[in-house]
Amino acid sequence: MADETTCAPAAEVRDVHHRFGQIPALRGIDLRIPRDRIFGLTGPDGAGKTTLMRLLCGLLLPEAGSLRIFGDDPIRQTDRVRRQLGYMPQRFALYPDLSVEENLHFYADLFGVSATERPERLERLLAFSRLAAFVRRRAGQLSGGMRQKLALCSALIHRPRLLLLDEPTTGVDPIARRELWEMLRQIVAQGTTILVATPYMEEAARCDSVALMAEGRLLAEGSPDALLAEYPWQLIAVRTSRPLQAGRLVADLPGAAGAHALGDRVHVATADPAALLPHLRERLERGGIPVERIAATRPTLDDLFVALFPARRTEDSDRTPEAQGAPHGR
Amino acid sequence: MRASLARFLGIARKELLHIRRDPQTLALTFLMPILMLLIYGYAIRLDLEHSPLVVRDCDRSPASRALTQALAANPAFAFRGFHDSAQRLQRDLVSGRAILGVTIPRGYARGGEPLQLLVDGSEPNSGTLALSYAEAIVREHPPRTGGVAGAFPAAGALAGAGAWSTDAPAESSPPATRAAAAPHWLTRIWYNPQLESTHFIVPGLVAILMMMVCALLTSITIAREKERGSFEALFVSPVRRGEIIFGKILPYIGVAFLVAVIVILFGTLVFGVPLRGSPVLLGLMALLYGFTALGIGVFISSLVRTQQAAMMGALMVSIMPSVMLSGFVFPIRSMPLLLQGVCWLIPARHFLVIIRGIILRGVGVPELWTSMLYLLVLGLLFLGGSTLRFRTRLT
Repeated sequence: MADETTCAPAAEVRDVHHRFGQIPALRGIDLRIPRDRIFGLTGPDGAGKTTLMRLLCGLLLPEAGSLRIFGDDPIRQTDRVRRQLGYMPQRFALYPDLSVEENLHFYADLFGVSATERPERLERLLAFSRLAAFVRRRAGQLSGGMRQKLALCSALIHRPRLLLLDEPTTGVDPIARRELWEMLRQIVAQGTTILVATPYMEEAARCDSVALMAEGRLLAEGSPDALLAEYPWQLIAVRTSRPLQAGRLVADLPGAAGAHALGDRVHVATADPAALLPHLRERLERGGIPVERIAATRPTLDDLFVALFPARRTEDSDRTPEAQGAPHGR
Repeated sequence: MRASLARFLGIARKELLHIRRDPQTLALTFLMPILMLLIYGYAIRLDLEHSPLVVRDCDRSPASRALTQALAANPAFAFRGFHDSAQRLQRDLVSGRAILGVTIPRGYARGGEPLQLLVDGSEPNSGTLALSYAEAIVREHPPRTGGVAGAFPAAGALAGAGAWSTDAPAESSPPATRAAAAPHWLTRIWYNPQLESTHFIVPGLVAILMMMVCALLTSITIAREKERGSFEALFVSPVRRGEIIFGKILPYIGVAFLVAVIVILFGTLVFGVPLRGSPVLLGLMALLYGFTALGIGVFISSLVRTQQAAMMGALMVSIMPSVMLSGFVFPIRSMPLLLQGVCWLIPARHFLVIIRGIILRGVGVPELWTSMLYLLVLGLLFLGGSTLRFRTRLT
């Protein structure tokens, strides 16, 4: 047993199923999260990322299958597991009427951080997150980015070995987003494993390993580079003011494996770009689509996701961090 | 064990901060009792004062004048004049100018002729009171030979009569000085001789306000964490459900206790409510009742998801029954049996027996232990049951 826990992966998920009422949320997930790295969990809303996170913390009981955190069962060895876990839920879970300092002290109380270690640990976290100047500010009066940093600090107060972050950058401006990712890198460097869920493929590409999920299933898993190396097509990017329309127009061209809109571009997948290009130009011209630029491009995780899971591409493919601005309340 | 204590205290400290950061709610919590006391103490009187009275004196004898004088002199009544005809007198009752119309028949002084008392019964409370006050006065002022015998149902009038009659003869002075052919009562009301409404309203308010504070505030504070999602992060710590619940209710027991102290102090200092029993016992009982009421609050919060639902639930489940079924307003003995059974489940019902006993009758544990036991059982039931119902997982 001791052996098993000392070399066990940070988290292990075996054939886990879960459903809410009649609606299945997870339909058989198998995952191994090795230690000392950032592991990304990505996919559109409803993929099951949050459910998987909650199962790992023991907030939900799985309908079938087993979960392990450093070899321990989150249900049976709740205490041991919870001491090793830091969890940052998707919704801001701290208290808006309490100050930064009071929120941190509260979590230090809950995790039994002793009075002797506490000052030094708080100081370090506040310096690390650059919140030191705001210790007396109420959490409700912090900006979105600072709020997430505070939530991150409170999840780190007991030095967890595994940090579970559920969409930590949702609703955060690009600068704070970059800062948060720099913080995650530093945390990993100090020996904490991170599992981060994100709907943004750009963020997933920054992880050491990534798992693509959709509709409660795992589509692919591996390092971003290895995953992209398996991408089966070549890509032509068409920049246009009407990407959705253009995508529908060219998807069924002979020689095209598919087309999907991404921001202000349409990516057309094909086995032979040189042969497709004239047909593509002609079809766009006849359809009256204004074309700003046509060029070959390298695949991203977005393209991979569409190739693996074509059904939902139109709703989800234009969701990028930059385009994000709408609230994500659910 | 030490870690558990630290978590419990951490939660209590955090809850105290929430209370301090919300001064409006806190002010309301302490102002509401004072406001209610003033309303109940000054505006709502269960005693009778200045009820308009008209008299039709057909006898015009010294005896009839003496009776009229006695009625008019009593502070319960305000004499509004004589009438010659029965129609006029009735019209005053119909129009609401008078609540009581007394007709003294010709030959009243000789005895044997019954008096007629007409009472406006559309307001049952003041009507009944007016009737019983009048009956008592009539009884104290018989014509030469007692003439009212048999004319009135005397039994129902006892309480009201006592309110007045205790002003006159002391317990020891024998009623033999009066001609007494009719059966004669000398009523004494114990514990609240003036039947001052405030004397039983103050204990009732303590029970209701404590329930209100406890049930409302705890159910809302727990529902708020559910609604905001802060429980999600809390549950992933090593915290246990008992630590969460007892940590959250600890500050509120203090708030509820302060509310009780304010009401009782206000009642004794401003309204002259006597505190005859042991203040220490009263304090202990208030704590016991407070825990029971907090248990109800926790129970309500386990049934709802939002603060709004918690507020509605707290009003429905705790406050309404505490007013209606505790014996505060309606006597339990006159309720249907089934409802009397339901009353046993209302903590306020038992607390009211205890607090009235301690405040007004000055009794202690030997007389009140059954009610204390019921309260303890209910407290364990509500608090224990809702703690066991509480889950540190999401559903």
